[in-house]
Amino acid sequence: MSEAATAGGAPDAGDRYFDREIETMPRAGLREIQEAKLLDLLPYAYERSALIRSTWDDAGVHPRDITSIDDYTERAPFISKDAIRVFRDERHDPYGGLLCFEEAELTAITSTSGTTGDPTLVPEVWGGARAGAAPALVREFYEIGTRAGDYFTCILFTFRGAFFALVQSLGAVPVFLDHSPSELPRFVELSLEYRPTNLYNFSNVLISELARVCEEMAVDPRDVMASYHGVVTGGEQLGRRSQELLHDWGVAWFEHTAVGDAGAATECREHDGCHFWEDSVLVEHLDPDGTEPVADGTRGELVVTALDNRVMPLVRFRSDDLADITRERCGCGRTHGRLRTAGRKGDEVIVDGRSVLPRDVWEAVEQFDETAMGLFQIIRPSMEVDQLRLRVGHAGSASSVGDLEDRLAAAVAESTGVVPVIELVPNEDLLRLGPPHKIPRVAKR
Amino acid sequence: MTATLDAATLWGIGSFLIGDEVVTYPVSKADHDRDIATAIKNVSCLGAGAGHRVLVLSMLSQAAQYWPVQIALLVGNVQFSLADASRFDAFRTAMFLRAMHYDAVVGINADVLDGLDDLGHPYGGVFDGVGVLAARAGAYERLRDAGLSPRWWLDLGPAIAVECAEHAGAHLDADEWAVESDGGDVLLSARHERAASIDRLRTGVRGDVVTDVCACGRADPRVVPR
Repeated sequence: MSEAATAGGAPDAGDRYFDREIETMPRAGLREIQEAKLLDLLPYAYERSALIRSTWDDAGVHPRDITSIDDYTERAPFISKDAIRVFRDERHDPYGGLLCFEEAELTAITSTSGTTGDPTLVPEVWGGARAGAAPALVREFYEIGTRAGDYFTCILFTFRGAFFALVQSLGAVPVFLDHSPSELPRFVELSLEYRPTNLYNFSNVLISELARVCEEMAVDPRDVMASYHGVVTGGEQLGRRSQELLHDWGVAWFEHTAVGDAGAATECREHDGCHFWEDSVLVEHLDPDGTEPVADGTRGELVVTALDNRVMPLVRFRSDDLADITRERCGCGRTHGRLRTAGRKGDEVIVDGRSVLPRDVWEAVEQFDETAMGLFQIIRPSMEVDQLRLRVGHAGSASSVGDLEDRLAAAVAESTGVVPVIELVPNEDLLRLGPPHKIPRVAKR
Repeated sequence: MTATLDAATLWGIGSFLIGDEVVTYPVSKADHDRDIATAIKNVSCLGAGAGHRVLVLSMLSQAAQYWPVQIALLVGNVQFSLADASRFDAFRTAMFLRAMHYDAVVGINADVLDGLDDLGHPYGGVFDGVGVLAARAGAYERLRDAGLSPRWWLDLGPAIAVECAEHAGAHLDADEWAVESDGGDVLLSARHERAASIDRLRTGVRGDVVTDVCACGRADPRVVPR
């Protein structure tokens, strides 16, 4: 470790809030903020967004009819992914009728990851009052221990812009790496040299490869990771093997997930669900097949309204994301809701009446050495299928897999109750479907 | 190159490529401010200005060189999009160019072209209508061989040199950098103190240095790759 490595001490449990007032605000106060922002947003979005205006007109509802959150959840129409897609294709509008700015006024046009199809364009306006509030990720980084003077490992992509500016806004120094297995030897070296305190973000692929790289470099992964107070994981949920590796290395990890494309949610140090920031997003939790709310603690679909986004706000957007939600006060003292993701409506297949989601298959796949990276896809030509077909990535050559297909089939049958048909392919074939932090877990063919 | 400055004065820990070797180096906040000034000149050299749209291809490990480019575009009211300069992410480059018009694509490298090859996209089709194709070594030649007219976008260690419309070599900001050719090896030196010492750095680029004033009027030295 060089003298440059001056990691801060472990985070003080009493100093965990970046913005104590907002983060611990009583829920009645949060609702007041939401209501004020919502009533400001609705006429704005109705006037500027062609899709929202036509959707509301078709439903016979006008923003002046809405005077409260209760009015909104009772009367406002939904926006669906299909509606956005249809508007985009029929009107040749790459923003699906949601853009509230003139295109020429935009600073940047970034994009989503595009794991399950063409990336969605994300128009951005940087700076200025009309741009909306800054992303809240800085609250999470503060919670997991980022402080001025720390080094912070940023191991990601470029396509969503300069998230590292949030790290710098806390006075920390980013250490830049690509989210690629080929960067892991350098990750090892820089972690030992600079002793970063936090990392954003790790994925199943990187964690699995780090174990192998450390072995090759003859270094102890526990030494490599010793300075990290927290590692944010995202893209997809960690598999059991990744969790076990991080646990063995003594690493505290913090799950990070999207909130229906309207924000993000991250675990706090209580590890009791991912907080979503309700001062910037209104989250409803509805019956996936209906319009009624489901009780906290049960699985429902996230329906979101982006309260601070003035560029391309989602208004009552049905996300297809399934999650369990609670709005009970967290052990950390925060009052904002928490969620645990369960999957996507579009990922489920029904085989002989049995529901199978990717997470039902995951552990069965990653338990074998050849398939330890947990790379697989469910082949889903339609929601209901006659047989469960899986494409599974394996390490090594095709001639070295032996009876792997039979072992996998038996393991999946045990975990799902359905005997699958397995197609084995090299890991590289699936990783090529990247971005490399995750692959599409469902494919049509 | 290990950081010796206090963390409070550092902007970040970046990296650059010398051939296939990745060199890690510290960047101070003062370095970063000067890199933005250089990037503003480079954007001007491209001919990008208010109302234009540019697609920037880079990797996060290169943020120290490429974030200043984005700031320069922002300052110049040039709209921009971002994609990784990787084989995996070439589909994103193709998606952007399919979805809207771009006046320039900068930072094109061999990995992106490999990815476009994987996707079966001929370069002439993907880049059709783009005014300026600013390409790195390894990609410039392939675009030229495909009948396109790229300009050099040269990674010279921590510096970037950019070719203007005259196609007479890549300009390097003389306020910040000195450049020389040592038997065809291009060497780079910083004119001001930086967090990382850059003194006759062998950039891995083979080329000649031209010091005549360019027909575009710029007096900066130009690197003409061999």
